[in-house]
Amino acid sequence: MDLSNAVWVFIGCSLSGLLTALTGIPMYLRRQSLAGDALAHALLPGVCLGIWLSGYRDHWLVYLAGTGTGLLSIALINAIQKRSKIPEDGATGISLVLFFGLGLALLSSMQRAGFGNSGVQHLIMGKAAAMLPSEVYVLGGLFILALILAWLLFRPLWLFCFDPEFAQSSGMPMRQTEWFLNLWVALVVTASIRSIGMVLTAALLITPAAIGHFLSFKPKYMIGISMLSAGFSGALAAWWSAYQPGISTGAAMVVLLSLFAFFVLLAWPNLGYLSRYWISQLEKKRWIQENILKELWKARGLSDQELAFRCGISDAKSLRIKRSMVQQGLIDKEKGSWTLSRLGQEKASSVVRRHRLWESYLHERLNLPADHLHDNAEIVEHLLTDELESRLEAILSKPEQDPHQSQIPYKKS
Amino acid sequence: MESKPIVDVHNLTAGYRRRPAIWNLDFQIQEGKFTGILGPNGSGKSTLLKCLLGQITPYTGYAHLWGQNVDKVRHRIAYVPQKESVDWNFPATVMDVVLMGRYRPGRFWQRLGKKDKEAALYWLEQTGMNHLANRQIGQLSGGQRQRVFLARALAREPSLLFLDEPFAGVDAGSAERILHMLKLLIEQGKSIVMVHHDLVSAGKILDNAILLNTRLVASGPVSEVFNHENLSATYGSDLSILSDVIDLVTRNPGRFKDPRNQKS
Repeated sequence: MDLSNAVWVFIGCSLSGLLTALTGIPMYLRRQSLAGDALAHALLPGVCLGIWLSGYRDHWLVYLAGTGTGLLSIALINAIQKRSKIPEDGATGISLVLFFGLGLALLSSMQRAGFGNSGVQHLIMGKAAAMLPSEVYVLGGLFILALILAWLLFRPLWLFCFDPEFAQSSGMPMRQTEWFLNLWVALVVTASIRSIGMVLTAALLITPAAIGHFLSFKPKYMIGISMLSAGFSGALAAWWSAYQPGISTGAAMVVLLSLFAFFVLLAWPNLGYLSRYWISQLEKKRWIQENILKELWKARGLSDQELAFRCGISDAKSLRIKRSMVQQGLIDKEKGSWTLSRLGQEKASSVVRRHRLWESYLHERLNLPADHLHDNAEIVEHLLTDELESRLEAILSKPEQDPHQSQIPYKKS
Repeated sequence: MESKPIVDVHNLTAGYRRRPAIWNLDFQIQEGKFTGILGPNGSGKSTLLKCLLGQITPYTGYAHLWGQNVDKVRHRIAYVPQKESVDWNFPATVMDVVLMGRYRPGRFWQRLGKKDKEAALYWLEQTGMNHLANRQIGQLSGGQRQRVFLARALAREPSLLFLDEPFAGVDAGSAERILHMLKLLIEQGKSIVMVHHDLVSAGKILDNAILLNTRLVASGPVSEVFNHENLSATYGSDLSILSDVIDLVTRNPGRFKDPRNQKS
């Protein structure tokens, strides 16, 4: 195909994102995020060796040797763990630095031997501007294969990641599955080196999966979100590097993806930290409003100070909230004292009714003494739904009074 | 009428990291019975279960199901692990987890079909969990989690069901429901092997018991093996010599493994 270099870069980076995101999901779910990092680093000596031997950077020897040293590093981690008391993270650390060090040594001697202009210096950080069409074909082929495998093996793999004990007892070939996954990761990372670079591949294996998991617990949505976020950051990174040729695409992808991850964690509607904080503030305000209504319902003509005191808030805050309640048409000020509007009256009696019904329930059904009821009902009165309220009415058969002999205000019907 | 042995354990010694946790066990489990594996903490209950499931290779002896290695009969068994053994924040719905029970060795590349979904729904109904089918598993209570695990195991339609402490951390309502399901299985002629720790309930719900304290203390019908002598041997500590020998084996640099048990 005769496409301009920028288009190849664009396709290549998007494919790298989609592919690494999909590949990283099992690693993330098995809590092996660090192993992905180690594997990516361990490809370096193999890839260097492949380039040295073949003289090309898109030769099949490069993929073979890269995958080979990647798998070797996993084998080393397993062996160290099995034959010594060094724990998994320790073994992973040892293997990572060993292989990466070997790779760096090879790399520097290759640069001295005149490989400097064949792009080996970009293996570590990635530079998609130098991407060859053949490398994009490999990425595309792997991506199609990944989609087919994911479609076929989605359920067994999900079981393998969720509950290895049950999977084993059901007869799943555990070791073969594990090596198959490792082999796949090694292949994908080798193919993505051109666009992302090995140091940052780990970020693209893990961050998309984390975003997907944060936003959805449904497997298919999680997978879709992961792939989309990584694919988009790949595409954007390619575009960015087209305008600013100095920038490495791998770094650009990781920066964009991480920014998106931060945005999601902070501000995603309903789930992000700020959104949840905002929702909890709204909820707090609703509780205070309901308490004000309730206190006014119980004792008309309360002074401002007395009302604020009974609701446990400062005078200033009480004033602010009352102003907003006037705007909502819940309360009014008549002759210097607060009164409830009809709407306010209705809401207030609902809160009191729920409070007293709940006290009756605790007293009758949980046999709690009278002095244990109030604090609990102070919370539950704000939470009960209409449906729960009518169920309470039914099982208590509409009591006239609560356990403290106060009248329960029912709706007039 | 004497029923056939479904589990045959012979001279079984096994453990982790060279430390034997069970020592020369010999017993059989009868078909169609509700059998409990009982013993104090560290008595090797879980190790025994892992041997029966083929998760660890014994140092000596064997544990056979239907007279064969467990790998040959996996389609006939199901396992309910302890619910603490998995991460419940995992992105999956209740339905996803129960469908995991429809995995069959040898046809893993086949996608699940309508029949599998119907079976999963059926077992969700039976365990009283169908209204929560689309819930994320992390939102379930302890008892509901255990019921999901049971539904997943039963979706395999096993002849022999293994459970690891199914009543630990489970509310009374769920425990009753689980017990009811297990009794139904026994009525249908299935067999159950359950690791259990509560002696009081064990006496009421089990047919047979295996009393374990590193070595086998007793095995047989609950009415026969539950006596003062056996129970004090199970829960007492009269094993100082045996535990010294176990220390010796653990510290010994040689390989403590019967050369005939090669598979790992």
